Amino acid sequence: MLRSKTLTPAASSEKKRISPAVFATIFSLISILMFTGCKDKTPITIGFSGNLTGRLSELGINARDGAILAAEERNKAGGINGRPIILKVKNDELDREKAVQADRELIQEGAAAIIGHTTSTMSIAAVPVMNAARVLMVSPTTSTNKLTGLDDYFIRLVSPWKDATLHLARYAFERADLRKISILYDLSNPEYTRMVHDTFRSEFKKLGGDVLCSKPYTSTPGIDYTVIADSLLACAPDGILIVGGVMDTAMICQHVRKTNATVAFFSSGWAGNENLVEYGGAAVEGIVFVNYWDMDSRNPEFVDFKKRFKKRFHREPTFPSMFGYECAQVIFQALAQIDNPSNLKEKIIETGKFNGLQEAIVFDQYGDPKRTPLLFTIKNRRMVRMERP
Amino acid sequence: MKKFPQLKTTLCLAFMLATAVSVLIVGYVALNLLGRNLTNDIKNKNLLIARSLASEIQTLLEEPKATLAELAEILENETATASALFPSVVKHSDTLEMILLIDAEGRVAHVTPSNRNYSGIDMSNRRFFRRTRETGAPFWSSTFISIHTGKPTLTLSLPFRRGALVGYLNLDRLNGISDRVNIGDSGYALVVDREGTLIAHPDRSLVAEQVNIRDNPAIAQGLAGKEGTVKADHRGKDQFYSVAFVHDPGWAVGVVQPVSEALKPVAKGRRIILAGAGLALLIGAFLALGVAGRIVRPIVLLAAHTKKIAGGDYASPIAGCGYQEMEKLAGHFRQMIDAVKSREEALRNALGEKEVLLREIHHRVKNNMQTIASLLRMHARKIDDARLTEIVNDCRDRIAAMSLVHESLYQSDSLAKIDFETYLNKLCRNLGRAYHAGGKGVSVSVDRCDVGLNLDQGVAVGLVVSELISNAFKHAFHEKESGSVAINVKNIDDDRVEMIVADDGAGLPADLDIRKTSSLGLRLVGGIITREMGGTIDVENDNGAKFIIRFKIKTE
Repeated sequence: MLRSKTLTPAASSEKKRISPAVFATIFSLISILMFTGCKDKTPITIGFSGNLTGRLSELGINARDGAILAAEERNKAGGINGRPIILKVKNDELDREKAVQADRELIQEGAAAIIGHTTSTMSIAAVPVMNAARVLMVSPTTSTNKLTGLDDYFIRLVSPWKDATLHLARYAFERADLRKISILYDLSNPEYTRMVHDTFRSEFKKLGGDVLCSKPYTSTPGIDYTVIADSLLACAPDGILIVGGVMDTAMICQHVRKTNATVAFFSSGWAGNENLVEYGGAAVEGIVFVNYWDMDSRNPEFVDFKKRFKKRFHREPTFPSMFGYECAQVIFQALAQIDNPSNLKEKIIETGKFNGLQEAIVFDQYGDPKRTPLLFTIKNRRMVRMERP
Repeated sequence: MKKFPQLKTTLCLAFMLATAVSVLIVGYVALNLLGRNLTNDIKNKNLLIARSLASEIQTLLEEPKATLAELAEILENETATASALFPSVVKHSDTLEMILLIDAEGRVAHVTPSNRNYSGIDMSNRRFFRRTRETGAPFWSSTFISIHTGKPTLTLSLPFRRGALVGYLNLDRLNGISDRVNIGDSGYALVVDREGTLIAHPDRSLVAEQVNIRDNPAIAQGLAGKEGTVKADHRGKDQFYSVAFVHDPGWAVGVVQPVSEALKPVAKGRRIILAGAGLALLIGAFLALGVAGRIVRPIVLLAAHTKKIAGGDYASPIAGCGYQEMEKLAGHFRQMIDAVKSREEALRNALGEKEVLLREIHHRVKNNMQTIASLLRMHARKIDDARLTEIVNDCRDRIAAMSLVHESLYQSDSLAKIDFETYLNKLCRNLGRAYHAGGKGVSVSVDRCDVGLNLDQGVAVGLVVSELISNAFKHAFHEKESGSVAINVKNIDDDRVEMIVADDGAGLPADLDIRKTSSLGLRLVGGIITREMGGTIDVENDNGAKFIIRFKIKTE
């Protein structure tokens, strides 16, 4: 059985004497409740499934922390219609079997919904389990096209990556004026990386460019970045598209730059957060990637979220943090309007539009949102937003 | 009647209450003191452990710091190279698993153990490098995922030339320190970095998953440098968090113990005291029953004896029951019985003497009255005037009737009341003889009489009956050869009597008014009944004369 962590509402254990005024208030409330009917105060369990360990754990850890913040804030505000939220967290370890097992355990433990998974491969493995149990899974970061347009128990906070990848391919060909590309993609999350690879390759070729070599790899501690960098450069590309996590992307860029190669770098967006700058150093200057969030957004709700996240975790949020937070908010808002959690999916689809931290989240009839892909680059060691594609 | 509680029950309850309340009060105070002292002890002890661990960690961290500082000094001053120095240091260090030498540009100039992935890469953006460059002081990083191991890692950076010397620390050593702490069944120790992310915990997965527990108020307080023990909620359970601060890296060490477990002795004490209270209550109940029984028993016996004494039985012995007070009470009671007994005997004797005297007085009064009646009878025989003779005879009959009352009194058992039926029978017999009733064929009978009268009323009612019977003999049967006079006396309610004297003679004149009649006898009857006795008299003609007299019996 997978070990899980539980977030319960914090309760002050300090003993206080009840003053007559407080007693009278409590008595009045009890009286009102007796006349109005007592509401259910049992906790609502929400599950979280994601990869929390290893080299590619950044997505999962940040999405989890976003969900934790949302649950903590909601509990402080009185929970969902007075019912506290218990967030049960499980680690899928980026393993299909463990992902399925984690979801089954969460369903058995009474989860009204599951936030997760954080990678497309795990989500695809999990969807049949969710469909069978008729429990909704809301993913913060899954973007595979294989789950697009399906009437299933799976919805997500990011748009399918196809559009974003097409935009990236067009940018590389038309704006960056590149014609020869090498693609490196991580088989740790093949459903996502292959989709990005295939889409980019197809579009880039269609535009008249050429994908000289496609190199799959698997992110493991024993990986030799020098070898990978050399193999990519061996094709003599103008640019390299890296479809991998932040650490691998940064290190590949570092090792390519070590050879003094001047190729342009592109990232699918998986690696698109501030840690890319920290790990990549000067090597990632100028890298272009596409994403659905803007770290420098001036939207007041996002600015406030950033402050709260930093206060709680003492670090800046990343895009999985924001999407994890939004996933939880969508679930909480919908649950507050229904009595039976089994109607959660229908309620979210019916509601259609939710307030997001940076923009409105609008779901189509299959629970796929339409978000605006944004292009970013790194300039002077900062992520900066480019023009909209 | 008001119902009083039983003395035995009251005593038992009082004993039990006193026992239970005493035990509970003592238990409550003891538990409170125990709980407070124990809580303080646990807080102090756990805080001491936390401080000890913090000190140990501080010492542990001093080792790589000193090692890196020494390496920096050697590299600075001697000709030795990093490749010559670092491998043996890493090999023999428990805490350093990798050392990087970063040049002024932020590039890795050397890495031990050798790793091509690190060699020559740009670390100028890494926070540990920038902070070390900015402050020129050693810097402990927060946890991050190691490129090399894929596990959470910490670094210690020391400024070196214009670059930095960076040591990657083995978190297992920290976990080793926390693993040594075993407090109770489930108490444990943890370490968090300055962000609040776990870097040592008995549950290694929490460290691997970089769980941040800064939301715990005790940890937040510890990270702010405030050491102490705080009770905080964790997964719905109250826990004691004793937190100490590790100054150099700004970490916090927490020693955690569930409150319920820490205060187990108090809970045990509470159970013992409750069981003790229950047992005390039980023992108290048994003792109370025994003691209350021994106290109450002589009182019950005394009550029974008192009842017997009230009934006139002075012979029953009164015994004490082993208590001085009860013995004394029994003694006083015995004295009281003797006194009552002797006083009662004296009273009886005095009463007997007075009764004899009273009987004698009644006897003499009766004799005197009979003498007067005899004298009147003798005088009547010598009077030629019939009218005068009748008057004298009437007086004789009246005196005889009164005399008969005195005779009835001294002959009866009670001097207070006359047996009125016997009296009436004698009176009728005497009057019948006096008026030669038998010869005239007239009978006098007492049909019913179930009342008793005192002396005063006996004399009065006797006179009335005498007058009415005499009147009947004189006037009722002149034209009849025989007749009867009947007397019927009965109670008509608790204190009222109805007496009917009826004959079957000629009857009374229709216009007879007993208050205005010329007959002295009838006026006398009316006066006695209405004025003296406050009664009523009704006269009817119902086959003869019928006098219905009602009056109230005097109880004195």
